[in-house]
Amino acid sequence: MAAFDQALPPRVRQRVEAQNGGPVATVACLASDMATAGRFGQQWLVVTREAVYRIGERPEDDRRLPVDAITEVETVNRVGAEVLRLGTQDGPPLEIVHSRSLAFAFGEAAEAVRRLLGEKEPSLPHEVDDARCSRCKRLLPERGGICPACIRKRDTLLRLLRLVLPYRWPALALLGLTACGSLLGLAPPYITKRIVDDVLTADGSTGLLLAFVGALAGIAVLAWGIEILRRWLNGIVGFRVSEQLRADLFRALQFLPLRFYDRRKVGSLISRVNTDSELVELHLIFDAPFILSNAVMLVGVLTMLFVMDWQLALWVLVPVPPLVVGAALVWNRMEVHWRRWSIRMASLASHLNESIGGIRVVKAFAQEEREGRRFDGRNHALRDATVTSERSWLKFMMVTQFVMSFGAFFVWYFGGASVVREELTLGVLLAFVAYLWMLYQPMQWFSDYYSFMVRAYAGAERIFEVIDSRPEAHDGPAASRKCATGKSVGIAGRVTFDNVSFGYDPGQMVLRDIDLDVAPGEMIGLVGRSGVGKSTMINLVTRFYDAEHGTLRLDGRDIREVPLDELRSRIGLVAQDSLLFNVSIADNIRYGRPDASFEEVLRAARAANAHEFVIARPDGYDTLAGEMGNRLSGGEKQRIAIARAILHDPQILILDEATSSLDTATEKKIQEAIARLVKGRTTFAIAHRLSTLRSADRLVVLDEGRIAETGTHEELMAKRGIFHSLVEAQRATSRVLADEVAEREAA
Amino acid sequence: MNALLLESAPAFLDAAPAEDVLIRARADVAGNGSFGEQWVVVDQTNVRVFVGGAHGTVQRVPIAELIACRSESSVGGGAIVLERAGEAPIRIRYSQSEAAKFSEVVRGIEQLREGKAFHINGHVQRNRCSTCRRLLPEKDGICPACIHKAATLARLAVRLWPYRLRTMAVAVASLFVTAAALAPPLVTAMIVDDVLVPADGPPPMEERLGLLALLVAGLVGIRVASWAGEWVHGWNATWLGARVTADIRAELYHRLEMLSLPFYDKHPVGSLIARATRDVQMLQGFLIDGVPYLVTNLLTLVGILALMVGMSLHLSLYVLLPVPLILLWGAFYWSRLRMLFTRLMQSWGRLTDRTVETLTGIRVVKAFAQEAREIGSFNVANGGIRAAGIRVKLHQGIFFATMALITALGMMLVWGVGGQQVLDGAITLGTLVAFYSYMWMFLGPIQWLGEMNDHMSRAFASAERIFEIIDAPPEGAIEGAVVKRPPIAGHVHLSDVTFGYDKSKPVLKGVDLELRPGEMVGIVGRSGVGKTTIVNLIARFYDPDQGSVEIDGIDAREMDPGHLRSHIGMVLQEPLLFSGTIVDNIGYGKPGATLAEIMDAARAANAHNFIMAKPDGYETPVGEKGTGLSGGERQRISIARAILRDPRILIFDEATASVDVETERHIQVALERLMQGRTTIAIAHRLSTLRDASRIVVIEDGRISEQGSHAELMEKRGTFHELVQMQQATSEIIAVAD
Repeated sequence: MAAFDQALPPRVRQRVEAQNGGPVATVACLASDMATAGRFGQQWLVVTREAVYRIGERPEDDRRLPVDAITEVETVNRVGAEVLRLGTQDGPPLEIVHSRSLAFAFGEAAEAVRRLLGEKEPSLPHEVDDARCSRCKRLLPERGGICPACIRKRDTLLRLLRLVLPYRWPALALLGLTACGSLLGLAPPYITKRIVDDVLTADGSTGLLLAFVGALAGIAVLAWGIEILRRWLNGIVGFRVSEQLRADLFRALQFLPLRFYDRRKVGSLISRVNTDSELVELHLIFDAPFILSNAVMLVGVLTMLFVMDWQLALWVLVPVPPLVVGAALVWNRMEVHWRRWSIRMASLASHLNESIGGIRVVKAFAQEEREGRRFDGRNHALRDATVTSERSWLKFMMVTQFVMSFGAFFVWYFGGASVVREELTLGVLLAFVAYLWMLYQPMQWFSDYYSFMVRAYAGAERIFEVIDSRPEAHDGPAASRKCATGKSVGIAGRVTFDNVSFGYDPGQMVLRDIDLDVAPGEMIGLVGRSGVGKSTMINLVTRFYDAEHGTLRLDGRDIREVPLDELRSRIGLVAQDSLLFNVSIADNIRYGRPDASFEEVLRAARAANAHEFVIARPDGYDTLAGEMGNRLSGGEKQRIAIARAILHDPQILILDEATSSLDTATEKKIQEAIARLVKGRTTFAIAHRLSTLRSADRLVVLDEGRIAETGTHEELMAKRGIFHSLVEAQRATSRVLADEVAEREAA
Repeated sequence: MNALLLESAPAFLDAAPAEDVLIRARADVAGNGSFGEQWVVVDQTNVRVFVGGAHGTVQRVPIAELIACRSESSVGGGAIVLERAGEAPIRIRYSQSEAAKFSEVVRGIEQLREGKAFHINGHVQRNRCSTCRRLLPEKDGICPACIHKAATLARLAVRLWPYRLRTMAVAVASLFVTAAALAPPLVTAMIVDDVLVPADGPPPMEERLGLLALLVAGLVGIRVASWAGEWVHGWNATWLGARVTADIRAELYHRLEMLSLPFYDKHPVGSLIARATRDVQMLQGFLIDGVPYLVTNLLTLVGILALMVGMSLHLSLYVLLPVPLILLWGAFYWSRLRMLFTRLMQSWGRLTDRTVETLTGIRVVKAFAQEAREIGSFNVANGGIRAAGIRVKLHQGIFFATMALITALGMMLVWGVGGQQVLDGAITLGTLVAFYSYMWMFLGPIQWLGEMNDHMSRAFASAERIFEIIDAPPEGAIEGAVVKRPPIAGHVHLSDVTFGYDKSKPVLKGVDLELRPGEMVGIVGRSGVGKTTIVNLIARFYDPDQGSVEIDGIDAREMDPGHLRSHIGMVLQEPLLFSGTIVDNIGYGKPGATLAEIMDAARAANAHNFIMAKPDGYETPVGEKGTGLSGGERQRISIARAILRDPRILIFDEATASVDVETERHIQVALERLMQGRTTIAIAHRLSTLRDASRIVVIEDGRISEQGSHAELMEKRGTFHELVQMQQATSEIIAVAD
């Protein structure tokens, strides 16, 4: 974890001090995992206030570079590696090669050196989340995440069992009933043995025959009751446990930070809730009891066989060892086949997803035939994989069944001979044949169930992976407890960026050293090119992400100390593509405050200029918005989103490109609505169309991750800096029209 | 008069006079609020309400007497209210699942009352089968109970024809295996009767042991023979199944690619993909496992019956005794179980909907701090699954346990009656043992007949869903017309075009527009006014309802859409890129383009520089929806993609709406280069984008309200002038402050 206060090994410290000619106070020490590009090894990067040291594998590689001499700090991408290069005017640059997994740590180190160059305090994060699993060294899906490979080693079965714990009584009853049912199944062959031996071959009486048949009937009725009860209990335990599992999973998903969502496709998360949890559910409902009852059955049958005639029982077992050995040999190969099949199926499905989902583009470029050919290739590959895997399964099953059928032949021959020699009764022989089926039948299915079980556990692991991921710090260690007093702490809306730096990816800072103080009620316009960090600033205010350097304060408190739901209930967000849910318009407006009265909804809709178009629809406020709101036009959705924000009544309002991609008339309506909304609230607004920001109290111009200019519109125009040039550029395009009008009118 | 809403009527409605019926809709709640039905029938002059089925009452309300017709919503449903002057209003109640349908009914009645043209959306999603009224597994889906099984089976069988030799091999092998399975009980009967308990006193032991060895060898022989049969069967059946499945999947996919966009508008992408994966898989299971299982089981039943009757007619009659019971019980219980299953599936559907929506909108959920509420509503859906699941398990338990009980009682009959007959000397012990084995083989398949039927229904429903797509007419097919592929110069003429995505709500109403080759036309208007629709018609994504679109004087409907589109370059607002590298994406429209051509196109699109700045240059992978590139970068790649095709007609649909000013300028420069000498249609909100247009067309309320050069329109001081003024007012503020 904490990568920067790594203890220097004495050997390294000695060599650093030898280079320096005296003891050093280190700022950062970092071990790299490569000696040169492409070769693993170890080098150390040691940063002090005065100099940067590289300690290589051999003392000849050691180098010291005084901070004053550094002219350039850059990170260079190479194949499979990255290089931290410190340029200097005299001599070659100092380079340290490291693998991508350390990119984040080295990025931070580079940042620290840059700060030293600018004579600033080199601030380093206290902790760097690992990019690799600490156990197996595989790359993690996200920093500080769960290693999907190592979670398997945890005992998934045990965790599933722990979920069963709350239902232990029905589960125990289920176990008991299952065992009873299996044991009861052992009785009929025994009774038929008695019928053959005591009645049929011994010229017994009709009365005795009827008594045995009566016993059979009793067992059947008992088995009937047990079976119904067993399935019912099974349903209760299985469905309740999987319900709990799904609820845990969904809860975890809701509280995971957005960073988690950035790296994953939503589809794969949805499939964990649906497909994976269903796999586990089916396993709990069908396999687990099946395996259990068959295991009991197996032991019972073997006991019966050995009790009746141990020599004949040994003959029954002759085919078992070759079967077990054969299965173990074939199994791995079969898994290879299945895996290949599922990879090809996934490749076909992803092709379908893309070409059917993007049908408009396919058609616009008339590429149906090419897509068809690509599909055919994948389809044929899948077909061939199907044939191979099913045939290998067929071979396995055929051989297995053939070997097993020899058990029956042995019984008929050796058992028959014993009957002839009168060492065995006919009834025992017939009972043996009956038990034989009960023995082999489950063994045949075990392998089937094994593969299903493996898949179910893989599903459970994927679920646990999500559940175990670190949730958003809803109540940080220092978070003030609003619950303690039962009263929420009011938020005035002062937002302070105090030397904040942040990057989404290792070593690639998006925001650098942002200092900004926003007074309550002030409206700030964020201006800059695409990708310059405007949305990132907003993501920090909403705490979708946490700043890595510096602090962000809300009303003077560190924002991490504000409970998350408290914070977000005070923030209103209107984004470019406003997402609505498939409920009525009224419920969409109410989304942030489910208890709002209809009157309040109406008022919010009026303020958002939405009321007219809503009541023009036949179902009015009960109109369903459609999936993702797709039954409403872009402008309508936007106005509903604004009404939603108005009703939410936030202290801090965020407008992220709220009016782009709308036509002018609609935009005007929305502008009016927004003007009403921003009054008295701290507002952050982003817009490409600079005109939208005309009512901002202050404009903040970002350039290369830093604040380049701030001031009112007039001040910035007077300055003739970046903002001025942006405005000029925009005007140049829209002025053309105005000029033409002027010309026309003059003429 | 189009788009009637007519649900298939029960017999008693047909008895009522029904000329010119416009609406016939069923409400699923009886007048008193309990479960039942009412019918609403509307014609030009009357609304009739049928209450209480065949022997109920009919209420007739002349439309002229209506003051208003509106819908009311209440908990779990709603009602139509027909208000009449001086009389109590009539309420027809319905449950929530029918709300969409009755919203259209109300619209239709209002149109009639106000004397307007009758235009309603006759296609409403159905939750229940229109013939048998069962809940459908998916909305607008296919009812598994009402499929023409024979016809579907025949269509499936046709797909086996190319592989008839293999099919024959599979059929012969499975017949052979079935026959071989009937033999062993006969041999064991001989072992019992001739070796173990010889009827006519024991012959010498050696002779008996010799016979035993011979008979067991016979058993081994039968096994080896049937094993060989199974090999032949399995080896060919896997091949055949995979082959037929791949064929069906390919046929399905190729047809999907050829279908027109209106078809895609009606079906969610997810459901189409499910047809190519889940439904085909289901069908494969049925073809490989189901059909052979069914055939061999039927043959087994017949064979066993013959053998048993041959051995002992008397005992056979007893064996058959539980059969009607099993069949009756199956018929009685299966439909009930199926209904419970459907409920369970629906609970799953609700859960999936919630999950998809919440996770896709996770940003909004978090921004409004509504996690707890989403968890709450998830838990409700989740609890629904649990409740439905436990019910399914309980009823399954009752069903299967009872089935097993009936079978066990049959066994007891064999032992009781057969045992008595052995005691009486009527049959031998061997016969009894053989009977016992046959009984198992006989009653097993019968127990599964019910399930088999269900399994078959579902497989047929899958087949039907697949055939629904295969049978859908591909785009560009007009009966009797020859498909033309003329050279295209770029002359586009829309004459008197009327079109609506939903025919009852026309978006374009009689549009006349002519574009000469090389001309650039800007299309202007408010959101939703039909600008994109014009473009959709030119590219033949849709065909006009009235009027025609002519390209170089030829009706677009007579042209091969692929050919037409290969001369059209489109740049859309939301550039959709495919996963692959930047090279793949730029080269998308022109397979086989050289890297030099691709780089030229990228340069022309002002994309070359930013591409080269990426570590992997042109090989930079572009992920799902082009992550890793900014909006402006993706747009420039999509422009390069259009440039590379060198199209005659260029279409820009809001190509620069969501990029910043500087990027827009880069793109504008690229576009100017691209437009030269091509017919260009540009849609833009930012009117500045259209400064180079040789003509500007203003669309208002589905019609062309103004057209002319920029200067002419400004002079006219009409809609366009107003739009420009408004836009200037917003941008001028900054300029004035300068």
